Amino acid sequence: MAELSALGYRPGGSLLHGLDPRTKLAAVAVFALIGAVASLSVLAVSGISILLALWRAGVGPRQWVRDLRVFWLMLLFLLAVRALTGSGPALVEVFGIGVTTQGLAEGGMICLRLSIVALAGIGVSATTRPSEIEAAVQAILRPVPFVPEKRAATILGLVVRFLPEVLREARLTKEAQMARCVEQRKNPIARLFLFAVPLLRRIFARADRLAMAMEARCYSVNRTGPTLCAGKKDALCLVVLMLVGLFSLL
Amino acid sequence: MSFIDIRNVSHRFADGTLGLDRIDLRIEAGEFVVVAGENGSGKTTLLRHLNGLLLPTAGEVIVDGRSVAADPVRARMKIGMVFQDADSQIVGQTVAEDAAFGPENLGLDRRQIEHRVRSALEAVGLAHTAEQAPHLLSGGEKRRLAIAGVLAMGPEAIAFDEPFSNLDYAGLRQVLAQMVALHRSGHTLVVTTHEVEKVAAHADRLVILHRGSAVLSGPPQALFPELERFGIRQPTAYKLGQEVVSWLS
Repeated sequence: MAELSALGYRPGGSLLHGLDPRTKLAAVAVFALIGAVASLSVLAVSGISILLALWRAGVGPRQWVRDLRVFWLMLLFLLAVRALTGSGPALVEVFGIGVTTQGLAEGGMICLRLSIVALAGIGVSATTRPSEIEAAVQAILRPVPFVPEKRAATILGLVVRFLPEVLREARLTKEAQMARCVEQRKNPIARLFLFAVPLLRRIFARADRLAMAMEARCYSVNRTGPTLCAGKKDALCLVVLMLVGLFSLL
Repeated sequence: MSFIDIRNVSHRFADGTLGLDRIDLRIEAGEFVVVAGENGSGKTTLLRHLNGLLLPTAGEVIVDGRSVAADPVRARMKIGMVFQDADSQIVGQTVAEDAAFGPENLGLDRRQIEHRVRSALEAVGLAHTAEQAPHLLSGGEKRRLAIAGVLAMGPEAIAFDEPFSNLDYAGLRQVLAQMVALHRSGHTLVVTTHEVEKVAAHADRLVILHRGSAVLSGPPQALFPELERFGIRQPTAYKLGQEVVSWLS
């Protein structure tokens, strides 16, 4: 049995599941804005709201911590760099380099801002079918001149559809190599090479098989898309988001 | 005229390997044909010619009176294909969404699509899983979902590529029962396998491929003595001098 990934769609009946995909994409855009400009209090409220919505949608901390662990490690690295290079009086010294309060605060804010955008993205990918994301992108791009909205939406839909497969292949490749004691090799470049080559080979082979299966089922850009239907919940959600967005700009 | 008419078809891959060598084969509407052969004998390559996923380098494949090369989309609507690796065939994020993928590609309206999806999932006994994530299904269920995805497109024939690979006994029986039901409902079936034993009792005809050529064709019982000559295992019951019976019995 395969495990559900926080990055992949999981069926459900939560508030997030019930929202129109266009509303959810708009929400991500607003959270990106909030992430860029908002104060700590707005960021904290936004973060807690997103975490609650994710939890109600069936995506608990275990899933998003596990599935985004590389991202969290990157944030930790960022935090460490900011803490060690920030100006101001040193809080403690590590190997002769001072960890500053200001550096920690700045690093923490950056991490919080990026986390909010990433978690909002998970909220969309876990509660929206790729075909709905495709349709929403198509609807959003339709008024934009010189942009082939169907093709752009198709490319995005395929990426979203294929991303969990890539992660699965990466996990399988890693497990296969660990079973043969790859960790005994100390050279990180050699290990990266040993990991990347078979992984890319597997991903390309899988993409090939997927493309052939889609072709066998008459895949075309001009296909019937899902019916998008925004309701009262969407309107209310958009109003709240607009208010929060405006408040964060003040 | 036969429903599928494979006329002197050869296929040479880009690296020069000869995949199919002058194959002549006719499959009638409603027939249940098993194409058997060892690994690399050309079974999958042959199957992919039936709906234009591969085109012959010589010869022609005719499906229901029209060349596949001239109209591959029509051939794909006439002949659905169930791939060996069911995971690769699943593109939807829920069972219902995956079954709807084909009808959506045909540009049907939403009501028609929903009707087809419901009928297809009921036909394979997966209606109760409609909102589940496909990758959480068992191996046999995934294979049945692949069949539902094809059925939703309303094909007249279904080509199965190694349908029993990676399945446990229960999954195998589920898929075999589905194939038998499809045949009874009038579908033409073309099944490639190297495990003749599992399906022979239900087949009308057995075709043996060897190194890209169709070397023998006839009733399964008549070809059992020849199987091991071409690297295919004979049914155990036949080896023991008994009648080869269905795996469903």
